[in-house]
Amino acid sequence: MREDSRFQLAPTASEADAVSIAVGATLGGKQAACYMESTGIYVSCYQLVVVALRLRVPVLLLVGHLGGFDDRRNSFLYSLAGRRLIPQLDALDVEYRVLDNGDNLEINIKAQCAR
Amino acid sequence: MNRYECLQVLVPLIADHLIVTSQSGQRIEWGSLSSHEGNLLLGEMGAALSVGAGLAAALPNRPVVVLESDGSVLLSLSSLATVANLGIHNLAVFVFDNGTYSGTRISEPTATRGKTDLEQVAKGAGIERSATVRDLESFKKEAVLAIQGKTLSFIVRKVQESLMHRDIPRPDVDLLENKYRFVRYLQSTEGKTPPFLGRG
Repeated sequence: MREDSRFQLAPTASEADAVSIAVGATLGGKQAACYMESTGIYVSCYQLVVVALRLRVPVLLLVGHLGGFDDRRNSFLYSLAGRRLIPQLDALDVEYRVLDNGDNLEINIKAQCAR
Repeated sequence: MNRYECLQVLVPLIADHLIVTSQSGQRIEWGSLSSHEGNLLLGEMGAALSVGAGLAAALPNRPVVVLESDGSVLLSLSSLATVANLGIHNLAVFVFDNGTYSGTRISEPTATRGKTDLEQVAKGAGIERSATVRDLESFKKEAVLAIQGKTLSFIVRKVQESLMHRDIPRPDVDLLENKYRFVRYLQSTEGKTPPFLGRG
C-alpha cells in the first residue's frame, strides 16, 4: 500500500489514533478505512463511541479476525480476544460482515464503501 | 491567567482555519467566543488531536488548529507519536495546561502537576516545534507563528484552573448540527463533499 499512489497511508501508534484520524479525514472529504486486528477493536472502543458513532461519521474498519476459530496460527494465544470480537461489535452497535475467506475481498470492500 | 483569556487572544488570529476543540469546558468557552463555521466543537477528551491530524492530512493546504488540555493529551499520548510521524505541517496544537482534572465538578491534579512535562513528551515523540509558555506575550508570539500553518507546532500554555465555563451558556447547536455546518463550510470552501453526505 505504501507504493500505491491511490492510498494515503497513516501508520498509527494505536488503533485509537487510527479511528480518530479516519474520522477527521472523512470530514475532510476522504474515503477513510482503518486496518487492524481484532485486538484493535478493544483498543479503539472509546474513539469508536465518542467520535465515530457520536458524530455519525462512517468509517470502514477492516479487521483481521486474529484469534478467531479459523486462525490456526495464533488462535491459542489470542483466542480470548478473538472469541469476544463479535459480541464486542454487537455491544458497540457497529454493523459488520464476517468474511470466511478472501474470495471476492475487493468486491466486498467496494460494496461497503458504496453504502 | 486562565484559558479563556488565552482563547480571546486566538480569536482574531483565526481566518480560514479549521478549529477542533477537545473537552467540554473548552468547547463551551471557544463556542462562546467564536461562531466561525470552521469550528468543530467535539467536547470529548482524548480525540481532538487525532481528529485534527486527520483533517490536516486530508486537507494539506488548510491550516488546522486543535485546542487541547493536559488531561485530554495525557489520555491519548500515543497520538503524539502518530502525529509526529504523519508528515503534516499544517497543524497547530495548543494545550491549555492547568494541571487539573476539573470538568466533572472535581479538582484533582493531573500528571503535569507532578513530574510530567508535555513539551518534552511531544519533543521526544518527534514534534520538533514544541514549546511551553507561561505569560501572555510569549503566548501571543508563539500563537502567531503556530497558526500560520507552516510547521507542525505543539504549544503548551500553562494556565490557572478556572471554572468560568460553568457560568457561560452552552453552545446552542448540538454536535450533529455543528458537524453538518462544519462539512458544509468545507464543501463551500474546498469543493470537497464528505462521502457520507446525502446517504442518510
